Amino acid sequence: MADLKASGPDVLRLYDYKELPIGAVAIGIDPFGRKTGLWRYHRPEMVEKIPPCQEGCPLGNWIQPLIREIANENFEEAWDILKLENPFSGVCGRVCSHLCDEACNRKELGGSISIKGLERFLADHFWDKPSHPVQPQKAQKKEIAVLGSGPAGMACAYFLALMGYGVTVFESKKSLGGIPRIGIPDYRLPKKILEKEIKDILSMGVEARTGCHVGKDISIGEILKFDGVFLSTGAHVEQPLGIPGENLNGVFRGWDFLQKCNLKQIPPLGKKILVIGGGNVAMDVARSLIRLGHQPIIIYRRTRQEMPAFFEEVEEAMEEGTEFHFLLAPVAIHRRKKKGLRLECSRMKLRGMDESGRPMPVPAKGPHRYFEADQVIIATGERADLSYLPEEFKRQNGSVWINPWGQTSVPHVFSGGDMTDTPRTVAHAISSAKRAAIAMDQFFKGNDFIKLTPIQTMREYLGLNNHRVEYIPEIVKPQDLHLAYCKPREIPVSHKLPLDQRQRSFKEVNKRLSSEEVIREAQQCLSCGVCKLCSHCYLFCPDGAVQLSPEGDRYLINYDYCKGCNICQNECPVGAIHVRPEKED
Amino acid sequence: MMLTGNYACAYGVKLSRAEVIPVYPITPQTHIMEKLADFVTHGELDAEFVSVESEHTALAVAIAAQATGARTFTATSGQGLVYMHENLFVASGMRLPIVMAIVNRALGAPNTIYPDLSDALDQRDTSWVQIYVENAQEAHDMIAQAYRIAEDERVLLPVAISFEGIIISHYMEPVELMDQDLLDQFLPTYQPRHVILHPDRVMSLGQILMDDSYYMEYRYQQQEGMNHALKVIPQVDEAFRQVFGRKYGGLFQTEQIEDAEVVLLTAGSLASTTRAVVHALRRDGMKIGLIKLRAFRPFPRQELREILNNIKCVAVLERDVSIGAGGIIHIELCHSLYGSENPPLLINYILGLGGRDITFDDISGIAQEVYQERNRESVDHPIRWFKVRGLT
Repeated sequence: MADLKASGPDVLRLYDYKELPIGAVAIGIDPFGRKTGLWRYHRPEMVEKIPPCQEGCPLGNWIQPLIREIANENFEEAWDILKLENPFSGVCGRVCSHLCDEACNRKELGGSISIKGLERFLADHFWDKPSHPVQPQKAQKKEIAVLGSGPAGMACAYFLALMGYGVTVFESKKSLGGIPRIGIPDYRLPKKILEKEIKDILSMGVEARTGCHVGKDISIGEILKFDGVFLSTGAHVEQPLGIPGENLNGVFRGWDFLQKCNLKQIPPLGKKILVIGGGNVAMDVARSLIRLGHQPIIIYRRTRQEMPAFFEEVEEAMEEGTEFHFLLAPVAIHRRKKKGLRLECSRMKLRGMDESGRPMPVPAKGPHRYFEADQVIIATGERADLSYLPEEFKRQNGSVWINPWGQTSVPHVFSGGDMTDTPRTVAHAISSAKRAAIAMDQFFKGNDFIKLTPIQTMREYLGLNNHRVEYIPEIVKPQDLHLAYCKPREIPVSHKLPLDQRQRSFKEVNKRLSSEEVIREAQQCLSCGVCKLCSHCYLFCPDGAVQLSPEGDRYLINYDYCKGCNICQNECPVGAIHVRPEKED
Repeated sequence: MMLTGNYACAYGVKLSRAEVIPVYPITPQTHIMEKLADFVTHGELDAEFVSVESEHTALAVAIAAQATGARTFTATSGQGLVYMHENLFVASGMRLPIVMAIVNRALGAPNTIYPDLSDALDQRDTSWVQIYVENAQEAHDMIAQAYRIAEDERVLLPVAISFEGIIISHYMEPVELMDQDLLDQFLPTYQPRHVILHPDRVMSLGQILMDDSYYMEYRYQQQEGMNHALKVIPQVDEAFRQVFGRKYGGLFQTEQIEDAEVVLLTAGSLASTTRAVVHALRRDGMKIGLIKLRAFRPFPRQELREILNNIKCVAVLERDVSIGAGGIIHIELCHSLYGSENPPLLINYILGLGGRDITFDDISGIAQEVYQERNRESVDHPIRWFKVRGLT
């Protein structure tokens, strides 16, 4: 009797107290209970937001799912995700400044996740296994010329090949690779890494013509006859300092010096060598000098904070014994009577901001300072050589002018890397190449794309970016996370060559992490803005209105019962639940 | 066995085969929880021990577990019980025969870990059956009786067994454990026939009623269950005697009241001391008796009214108070006796609050004081705070 009533009472009559089933069963309503969702003022929704690492990465790596796959020990999936956006993960895993690590919300919570270490690990782990992130698309009837084989040129070739285009790379030097080959020392990037990644790109059907100098071996007119052209000839022209004595014997250029080092054609040097400049080239020069047994002294006109070199590079240069002098600008280089050079510097101070927004060095009072040395190496930046381009190519501030998609003033010609006005890093070069490759594909297909916001990632262009839930393009900040659920960070791991060995050889400084280490590292990712199925929403929902989807890949809210209490949002560790006011009827 | 009241209670729970045990620690109850956790850990008790973050949740878990048909036990004290207050109504309203041990602890502020009965008596309106016991043996036995009372289909209400913290909970006494086989006969497996949650039979328990269509009917059902408990409690006590040979008197226990002119009425551990006083004064020729009140809910109104009809004076000795009204038992007794033909004089002694020690001599003094007043028409100061320093 009681059972019957409990499961299906007759709602049309009123029972007296003897007839009511014992136990306060609600009579006359759905056995599933009142649809408490009617009471809702606020509507929590499962969403996906942008993790700051992904936003921080200049080349648009798909970092969050990559870390998740590593945490779940699915290295192959992670490898494909990585390769989809970047053919140079072995190079980037070593020489990229990893702005992703800088952006990591963990940074102030025990230390960033070492995305650099994860990237490097995958590239090394899959040394013999080329990735096939996507099936190369069917062959397109367009041929594209790429000028220059640095990261930008080779990456552009890679992305174009992925999309089915025929690509020929023209390189004036005898070997492919650009700056990573001739400008980055071995202790940062062993050349076999670069060679292997270039070989993988060539194996996709990309042709390469080395030792082919545009203007000498082939005319620019020939190049422009291709269906599409990507210019990426970099910036190699040393800029003069404009001070007396800079052409004296014993004064070298940083870029030139690094090339000679890589070709093992090092000129005879004395003990004490002055290096002028605060960028990565200056650091590479100084650290190479240490390895060659010399004593470098860096002269920089601003301070430690303003140095354009990567933070880690400066740290390591200091550790290895480089001497630094700040707020000094070279005024002249003098020849000493007997032997060697003397650098005359004026004292500087920082006042106001320059055009780039950096504090501006201006001369300060006080006597000039003099440094004596055997040689001086000037590493104060290079500019692009645009002399081979016809006049129809618009120029801007010494770079090739491009529109937001990377297109030059000649419609079928695109450009990227150091010869355009972009930060001079490998990551930015690859990013500019990817954007141009996507733009070229649209250009050939006749799409009207110019006025649209440039597409920066392959996943977006190929429609692989299928979010499990609604996507809100907001970057997740630490205050969006529930930090009480943030477990303490294990001490970040890194393996470096012992200092005494670093000071003696060009052996790689950073070593790779082990599988166990990368898994542990990945598992400490806070998964900012992306549900990691922790089930807090499910467990805390007082109405049982949160349920796992049938596919088991996300949580769903049953709005028949969700009262809009927003406890789920409050307890979500990753900030992936968004609350909106309920629309009024 | 020599056991503290807490351990005796825990053994009672184990022998009664509780299946789900959500408890939050609080002095002086904690030993019950610890001992039960111990039983579960060592495989001596096949139960789910649920660690919770508060007493409110402990009872919420008990409610959910009991609603699936599991025999459930929880325990608490003082502030913990007060914190459970909201859910006490839910448990009884859903007619869930949960058993809880209340190890009495006086309520703060000022804070103390020593006992009085105010914490439990305070919950009188929550529709829980409340039984007060006087020693470890009774605590042990009453856990088994409590399940049988609670699960009786005529009752189906949660039952609280109260005993005083420290005085009963922490001191060792000889306790005879119930025999498991005999107990299994006395207390069979809980097989509920009223509504029970099951995945195959989806239903909504304790749901909100948006109109007033059934609220009063459900409330009256509870009243009926409580009315039945008045009969069931003595029946269970008698059944227990037949199996185990021990008997506690059901709703209340009487001692030498047949010819008594004065009756001392009390509850909990005070009953032991008072019993000794009564025996001693009887030897001096005083016509004095004892009523140990056991069931406070349901309150044995009619039963007390009948038994006290020809008594000249009743002194209610109680370790509790409702500030502004008097002793809580006293108030209930007043309402029970109102309008009876030959009502006794009622004198209320509020004593031993916060665990203040009440000795043989204290009670003996009270008995003699009351005995002198027994023939008066009325008494001055019927509500008397006993031994408050500075109060004469």
